[in-house]
Amino acid sequence: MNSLTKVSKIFENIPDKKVLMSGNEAFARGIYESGVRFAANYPGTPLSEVGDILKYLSEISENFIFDYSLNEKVALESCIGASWAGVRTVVMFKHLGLNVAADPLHTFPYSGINGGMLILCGSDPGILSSTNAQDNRLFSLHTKIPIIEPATVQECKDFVKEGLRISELYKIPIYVHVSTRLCHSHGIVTYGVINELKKAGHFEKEPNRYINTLTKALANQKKYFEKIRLVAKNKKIFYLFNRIKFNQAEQPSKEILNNQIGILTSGICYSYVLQACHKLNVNPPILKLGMIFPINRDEICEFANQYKIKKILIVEELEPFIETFSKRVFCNFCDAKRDLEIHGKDFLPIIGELNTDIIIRFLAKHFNIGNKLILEEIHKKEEVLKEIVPALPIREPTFCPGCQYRPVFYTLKKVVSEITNKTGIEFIYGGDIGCYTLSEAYPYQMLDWVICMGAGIGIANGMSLVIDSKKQKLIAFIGDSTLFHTGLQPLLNAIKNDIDITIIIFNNYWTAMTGQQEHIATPRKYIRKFGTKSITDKKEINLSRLMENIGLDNGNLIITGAYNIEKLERIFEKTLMKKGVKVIVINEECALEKKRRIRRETIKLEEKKKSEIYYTITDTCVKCNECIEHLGCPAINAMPVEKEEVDKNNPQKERDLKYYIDEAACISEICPGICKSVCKNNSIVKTIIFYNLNKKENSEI
Amino acid sequence: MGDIYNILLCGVGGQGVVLIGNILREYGMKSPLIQNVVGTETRGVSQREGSVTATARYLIDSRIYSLDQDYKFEDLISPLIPINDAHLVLGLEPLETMRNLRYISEQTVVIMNTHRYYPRNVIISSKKEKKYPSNADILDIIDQFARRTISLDFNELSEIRLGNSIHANSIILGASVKEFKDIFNKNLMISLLKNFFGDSQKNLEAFEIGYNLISKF
Repeated sequence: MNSLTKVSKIFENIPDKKVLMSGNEAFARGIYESGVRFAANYPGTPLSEVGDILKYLSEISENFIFDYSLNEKVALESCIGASWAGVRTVVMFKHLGLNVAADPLHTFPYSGINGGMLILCGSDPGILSSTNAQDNRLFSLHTKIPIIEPATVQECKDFVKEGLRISELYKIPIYVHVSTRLCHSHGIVTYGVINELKKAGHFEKEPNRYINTLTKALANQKKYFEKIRLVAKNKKIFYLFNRIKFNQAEQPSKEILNNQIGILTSGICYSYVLQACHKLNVNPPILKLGMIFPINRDEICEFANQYKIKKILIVEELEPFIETFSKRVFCNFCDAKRDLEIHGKDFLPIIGELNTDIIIRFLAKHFNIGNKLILEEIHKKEEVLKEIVPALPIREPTFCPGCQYRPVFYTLKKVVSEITNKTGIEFIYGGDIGCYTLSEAYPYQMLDWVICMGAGIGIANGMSLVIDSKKQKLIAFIGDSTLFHTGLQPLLNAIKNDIDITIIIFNNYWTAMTGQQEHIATPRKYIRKFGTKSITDKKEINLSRLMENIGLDNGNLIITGAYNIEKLERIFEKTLMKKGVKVIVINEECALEKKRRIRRETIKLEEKKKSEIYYTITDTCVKCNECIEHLGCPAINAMPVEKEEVDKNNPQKERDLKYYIDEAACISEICPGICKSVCKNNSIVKTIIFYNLNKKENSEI
Repeated sequence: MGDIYNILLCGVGGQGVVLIGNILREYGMKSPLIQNVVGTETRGVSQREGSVTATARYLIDSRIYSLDQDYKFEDLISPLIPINDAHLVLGLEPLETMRNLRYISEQTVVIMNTHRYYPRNVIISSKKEKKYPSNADILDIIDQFARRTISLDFNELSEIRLGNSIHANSIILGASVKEFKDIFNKNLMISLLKNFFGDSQKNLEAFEIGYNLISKF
């Protein structure tokens, strides 16, 4: 199915239609159904796709506006502005983005909002694509912003709708907490009715409310806290988001009644709990929290009292957030406190994602009726797995085939080791967040730290002032999107202090790692258009010209492409040992996106392919490993040599491998054959087949 | 609770794991036999060469639910397959099939493509700490756990029969449909295949090759 057709189906106006979609798609649908007028985003896994879908919507829909903001702080502030002008807004980013947006986050709720406002934030408990696993629910301790958490794909859509309604009712922002797993899960969603869009916003001046200074802020804080108290006490809101599941099929035995176990859980863990209960054939009362902050004390106590619960099991990922407040509630306010046992993080890990198997073990520990067999079975299997799985080779991530970063790191590694051998100077590499972070992996291994966006140059700032520049030298990497996110300030600081550093800016024109979203410096003509309308992204900023204007003179600013290894070599040799701030801007479009873009354009213009290029490894290859090991392009691969051949020559020897270039992986139309230029043995051959000639003509170059 | 039917797909990035996952879940959506469908996918950081898995879970239930019943299909909402619970494992690559041994048990049918994609660190001599087990060793171990294993170099078969290895996945789908006749309807799957892959004759041919393959085992 065409991906574009699939996206357009998300915005069909057919209420009650049942559609299979991912959590991210359901969020986008929810935003559409609720009549959101403005949404802003900085791309980040796991929520990047929501932005991509909304970008499409913004171009085909009359009044909906979407913005890829420079960073999360700008995105949040934009949404505050839109909400104050009275329209519904949603801002979305990954959990780490909330740190960047934390400054406005702690103050604007005092003033409250006008149009409904959601902060949609994806968490990453397994650190599948982030630098940490921080539990953003803890932000509520000082921001007091209510948190809702969907448990199913259907709820992803419904909670956006209900969240916006409650937000508008109480004039407070609402935070939507969602895990990576749910964003990437698929389930059936029933479409709802589409709310009408409020056309133009209008800002009503109210200085006492919007100016948070001194006594005004204090008064606003009081009002805000009062609103949160009301939300906590509201029984309707409690049952809007939270749900009690209990199927009492038959008369419970005395034994069960005396040892009733209840489960408290939220989000995707709820689905694991149901699965585990099914596997263990137990049927405890379950309170699924959809609103995890603030807490309605009375209703939680009511749950424990109603089902005469003696023991509460709390299932949640990361920190014991629900556990901590439930302990407080049950111990201080609940009649059941007399002999209530509470378990959670005493068994469940605070590190990593949960899954059904962990929860099966947790529940089995407490429901000790006839579950021995299942536990034994799991135990036996895991013992076997322990022997086998860790011994398997892992697949390390690497740059895409033909990636423009590969020749840069290949050349840099070579030049640096030459300098180090000659002078004994050690080079330090400051890393940042983007595709170039993969330089940490084999075969380049040129990375000394990765902390957060902008911290490559940022950390180098202080380090360069204290290290001995005769013994150690700094190189910092940063990408274009990251530079504009939070990289400019540390760069300017470095220029101000004139520290000794070489900064390599990888300008690939896109926010590539999260799926090639456009940013401020993307050439406008490259941006794919879905519809006629686009209110944002009117002007582009030229990154190279910006660098010229911040005090980098000719000698210290080098602008180059990526694919000429000899030229790169000369540049690195000349620059690395120089004093002061040197900036090398590598202007080369993301090869993957360029390939797609050119393919789209060719189809659009109905152009026929004029020629095709192939790279092949000939039999003269001596397996020096320069291409496969040092360059490391994944299009170059190995296959076992025919069995008989090997058997005949060396019957004892292990099967031999033959190197080849995978035609399907190689992007010969973009990459000018870096593998060919590094092959010392001239064993890589370029073949061009021209289609416009009558006969096929092969020319070896 | 009705019967839950679990499919696990595993392979290397770029092989089509995510796409087949989408097809199988869409099948669950279209089939009148299946009341509910969920699933998920785990992608690596890399575009290519990373380990990828996807799941599709079907709820097959003959009970009739009342319309006003909230959470009708709550019996199946977890996108993850519990340990030992896969019914069908489509292993597009031997090493990745081995890595997902956790889900394979005596109720599992494994259909495995024996075409190998070597991880970089296995090819390069200086980093050869961990060995890629031979296909025979992998099959030995999988056979110990699975109910039935169907393994073949589907890439080679596709290349020989259709002149291009890219139809391997369609062959595998064809084989799965025949193997699980009770669950999969051939015509419905073919119509979905057309939806996803376009009306390519080669793909349908590949599907038939896979479908006819099973009786021979």
